[in-house]
Amino acid sequence: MTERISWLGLGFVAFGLFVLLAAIPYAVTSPSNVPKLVLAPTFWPTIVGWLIIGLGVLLTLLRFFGAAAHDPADDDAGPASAAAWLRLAGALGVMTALVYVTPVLGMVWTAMLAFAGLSLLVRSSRPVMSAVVAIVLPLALYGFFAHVAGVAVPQGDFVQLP
Amino acid sequence: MNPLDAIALALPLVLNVESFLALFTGIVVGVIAGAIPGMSATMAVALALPFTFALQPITGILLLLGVYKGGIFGGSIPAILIKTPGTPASSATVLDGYPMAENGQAGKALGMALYASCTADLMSNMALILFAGWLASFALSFGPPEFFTLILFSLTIIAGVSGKNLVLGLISAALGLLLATVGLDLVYGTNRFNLNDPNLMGGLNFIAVLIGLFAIPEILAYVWRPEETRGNIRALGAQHVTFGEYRKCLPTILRGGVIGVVLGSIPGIGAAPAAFLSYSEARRNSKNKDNFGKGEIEGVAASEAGNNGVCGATLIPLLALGVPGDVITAIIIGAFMIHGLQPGPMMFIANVDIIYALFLGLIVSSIMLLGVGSVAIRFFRYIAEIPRPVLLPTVFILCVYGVYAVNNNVFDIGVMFATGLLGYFMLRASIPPAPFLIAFILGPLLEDNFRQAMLMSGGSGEILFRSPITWVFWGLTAITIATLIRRGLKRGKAAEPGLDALE
Repeated sequence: MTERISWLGLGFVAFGLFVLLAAIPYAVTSPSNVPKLVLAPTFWPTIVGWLIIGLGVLLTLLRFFGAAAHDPADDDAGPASAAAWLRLAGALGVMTALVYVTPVLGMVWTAMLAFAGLSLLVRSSRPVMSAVVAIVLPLALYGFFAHVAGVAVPQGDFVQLP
Repeated sequence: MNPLDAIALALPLVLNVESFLALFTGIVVGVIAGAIPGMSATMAVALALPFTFALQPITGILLLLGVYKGGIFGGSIPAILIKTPGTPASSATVLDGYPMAENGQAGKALGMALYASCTADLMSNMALILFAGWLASFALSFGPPEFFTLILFSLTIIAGVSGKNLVLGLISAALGLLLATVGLDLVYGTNRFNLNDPNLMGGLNFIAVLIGLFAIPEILAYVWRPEETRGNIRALGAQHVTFGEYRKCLPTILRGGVIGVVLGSIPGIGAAPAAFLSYSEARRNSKNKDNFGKGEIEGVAASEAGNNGVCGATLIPLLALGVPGDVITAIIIGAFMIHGLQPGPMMFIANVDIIYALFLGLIVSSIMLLGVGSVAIRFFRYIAEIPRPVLLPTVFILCVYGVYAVNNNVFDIGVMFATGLLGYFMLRASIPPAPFLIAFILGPLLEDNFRQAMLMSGGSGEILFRSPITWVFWGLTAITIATLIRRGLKRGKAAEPGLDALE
């Protein structure tokens, strides 16, 4: 029986319900003097919310009535080993850190660390090349964006670049 | 303004070092990115976009168009040499290109791919020049109800060609529509999902969403499974395409170019179906039918003409109607907007010099592609040997700088990562990202035109059926939906029931 349940479909139904019952009432403000329902700020998100629920139900039904139907959520992008999960968690850690560390260290130094972190995660077979690119690339991009494109690249609190 | 006056205005915009350099750089970057398996033309255009902010609008857009054209051709190089299409558009090229390479005729296959690409590209550009202006003048009479029905029709077509599974494509589009509603309401100025955060009041940054959706999931997928996937690179061989062979394949190339132009001008079809249709038509009409799939040079010519014939034609709906023809032109529409230009019929009046400068630049790009492509073929070995453990962190850093540069805001980097996570989930769940992005772009246009129509009519839905144009688009939408359902049911009966029925 469980192989007939499309968790993906049910997930979308749940998400659609969340949009309709929680997200729209909490996060969409509609003035009281809206003359017609179709002009209200909530109208369009509500339509989309119902659309998501409908498609989720359709996905679930197709799975349920299909004898050996394939649920795309079963697709495997590779072996789900503990190491793979750890690497993925590490990459998410690098991303999160990058957002919070950039204002403190500056974009160039943070980018160098992020490059090194990702290279370590995938165990780069070319460590020397990775190290060189990790240093040169953020500096080169800083040069382009700061001096050619006129972008105020964050410098951080410690080392300021010209 | 007559076309000659427009050309006179456009010439100074194109005939300068910056424009030529931008086109050349774009084509080089595109060919290299297209030739690297795992990189795609889409990703290359997305990554190149932030580098155009500092350029003049026409220079920046020409650079992106160069990346687009170069990327589509570049995908054929690994398709022929290592049996790995660099872009989905080159999948049909593998069928005869790789067998030719195995027979020691890689040089001949690549040469034909290049000549067919450039010829079809030129045809596509001419079609753009001929038809875009005509379509735009027709679209000048469109009001909000007509645009609403046109965009609705475009969305149904896009959903119909959104990959293996229609329902998942529709879900992807629905998620894109939902995220597009984030930000201040345009009519009442009230909050919509922006949680009173000033960073979200203008909506989610388009570039951050785009790069998050197309580049970050590839990086996460590699982190999940860091394996080198490099094929055995075939030698070019001594043989080259002769003029006689090109002349013999010319009818096939012209047919493929026409197929590319027709399919490319319909929003949502894209280059890969055009390449396969062109290939199957070439096979049907060829005297060497039996040799197709075993190393037939006509097969390479057909598939490359089909996929490159799309490039200029996808710009017809973009420039004339403001509707992107495929996912890459959806990115290019973002470039127009960033440079303060709104593609659509009004652009043919307000910015006719830029339109004609683009036309001229596109013709120049076809000639440049010929030169750059010939060199790229010889240097492919070096391009293919860029190690992925270095390439993907490089892409990651390019994403970070590029997204930051849009608004000088670290918050946008966070949006990119969040969208990247969503994109990775979609990748794992086989949900195609292209409908998401196109719906994200078309969603606000759809809603704005709908609400404007409702304001005009005082909330009456009758206005959406006010003219023959709206009836035509409603009819086309109904036909598209009926065709999709019918095709799904037919496949369902022929194959396994269930989800596959709507594939």
